[in-house]
Amino acid sequence: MEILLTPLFLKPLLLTLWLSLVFSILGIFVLIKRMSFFSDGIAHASIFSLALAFLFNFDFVILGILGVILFSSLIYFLEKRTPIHSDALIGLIFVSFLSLGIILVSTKQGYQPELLNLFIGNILTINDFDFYLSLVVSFFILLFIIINFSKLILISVDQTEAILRGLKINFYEYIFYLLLGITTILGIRIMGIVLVTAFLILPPMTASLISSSFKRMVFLSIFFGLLFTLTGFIVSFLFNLPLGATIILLQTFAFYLIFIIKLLLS
Amino acid sequence: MNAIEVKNLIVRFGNNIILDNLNFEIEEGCITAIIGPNGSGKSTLLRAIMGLIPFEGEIKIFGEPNFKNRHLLGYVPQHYNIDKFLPLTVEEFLRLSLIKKKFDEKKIKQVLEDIDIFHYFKKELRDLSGGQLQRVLFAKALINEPLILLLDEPISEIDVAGQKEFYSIIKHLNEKHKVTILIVTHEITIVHHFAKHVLCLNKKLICNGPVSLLFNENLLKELYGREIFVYPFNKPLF
Repeated sequence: MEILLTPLFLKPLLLTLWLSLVFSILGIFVLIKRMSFFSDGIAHASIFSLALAFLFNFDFVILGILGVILFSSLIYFLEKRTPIHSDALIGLIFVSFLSLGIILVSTKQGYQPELLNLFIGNILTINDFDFYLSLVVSFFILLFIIINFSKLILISVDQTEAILRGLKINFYEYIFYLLLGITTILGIRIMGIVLVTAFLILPPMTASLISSSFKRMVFLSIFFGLLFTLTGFIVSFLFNLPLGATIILLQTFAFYLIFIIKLLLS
Repeated sequence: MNAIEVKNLIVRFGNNIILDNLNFEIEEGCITAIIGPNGSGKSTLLRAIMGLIPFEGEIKIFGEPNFKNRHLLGYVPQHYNIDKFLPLTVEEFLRLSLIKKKFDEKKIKQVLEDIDIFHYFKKELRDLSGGQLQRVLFAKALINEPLILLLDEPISEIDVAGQKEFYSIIKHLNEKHKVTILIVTHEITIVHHFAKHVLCLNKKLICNGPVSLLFNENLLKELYGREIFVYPFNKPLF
């Protein structure tokens, strides 16, 4: 177990714990605003950024963030300008850039381990630059969320009231789209493209089952996020399992368990 | 002073005209009922006043364009969809509305007692009945001390006893605090006992004047397209 305290493991562990904190809080808004498909779509569309990074040997996180600004803006502005529902627009952006990404990747021959790492996640392969970039970017995202916490909740649960109280809801919504997209990109290193959305929504989902107030739900969401990240790290190390899938499996197990116990008690 | 001034108001959804060239004024401190059949644009008018939808024409709140002074409005919607997943308590929900004001415990307590929701202050919104939720929405509209209260069929979920209290609170707000009330309702009988002014709406403004206008059976027939029975004005309602 001491190996977990060596720099090779400690840095990824700290980053994963830190990101799980950010994800657990942001996930609450994702659930209230029913935006889990947005996050999933962004993650899949980011294959385009991944392909570019891969072809031109550029940093994935930077290209991923630039890509997300493009995808989120497209989704947001199409939502405002067309009568088409949000989920269909997300689907449109998602498949357009996913297809483009697949075609770009296919132009390069041979086995590509880096691609697999981003599909299923592998935090141990993160380089120093991405480590610090992820820390700094996620710090500012969390700071924005904390400063504007009440405003974001009000906009999420009661838009009319938010407008009457003078909040610029279009501004906050657009910023939220960007932040959610960027956070998704940061999580891809750990969880992989296919599981990153679960990292967002499972802690608040489980917390909502046993919370009698919003405040309690926020704390429990953070608690579950940190707890299962830490246990997931240990279990994946002990049994040589993929980290992302282990964390998500533990979280889904906790959700089912609490759900069944609650059902039996009621 | 006029609390609300509406000039040449037109609201369109696509090619459909929902409100057609409305012109009216509402005096400060007046209780005004908006009546009309389903789909006549009553709720749309409230949404236009709040600046939630695009419109042509002019809407002023206390002499200023509506978007500048809409913080003076309080709004009680007809329905509020609670997210069943969200464990938001009544207290937390009310605190959210005070986003730009200090949470004055004493004042809040007074509002909660007035509306009789103090005992479920700590309860979750998702556990409330329709009537209880309606009271919470009413409290939310009041805690910001609005000068104008917009009510969109606010008693649809409240029982008869609750309705009586509801109207007495509105009367109290209007008489003591000079709050201007604009209420959308289908209860013609209640309009008689409660409002001073009435706007009859069916995309266009069919009538605009004192409540006694409603005794005109021809007017009601024109508005609703059929005969309407009105409970005698001189008998107590509750």
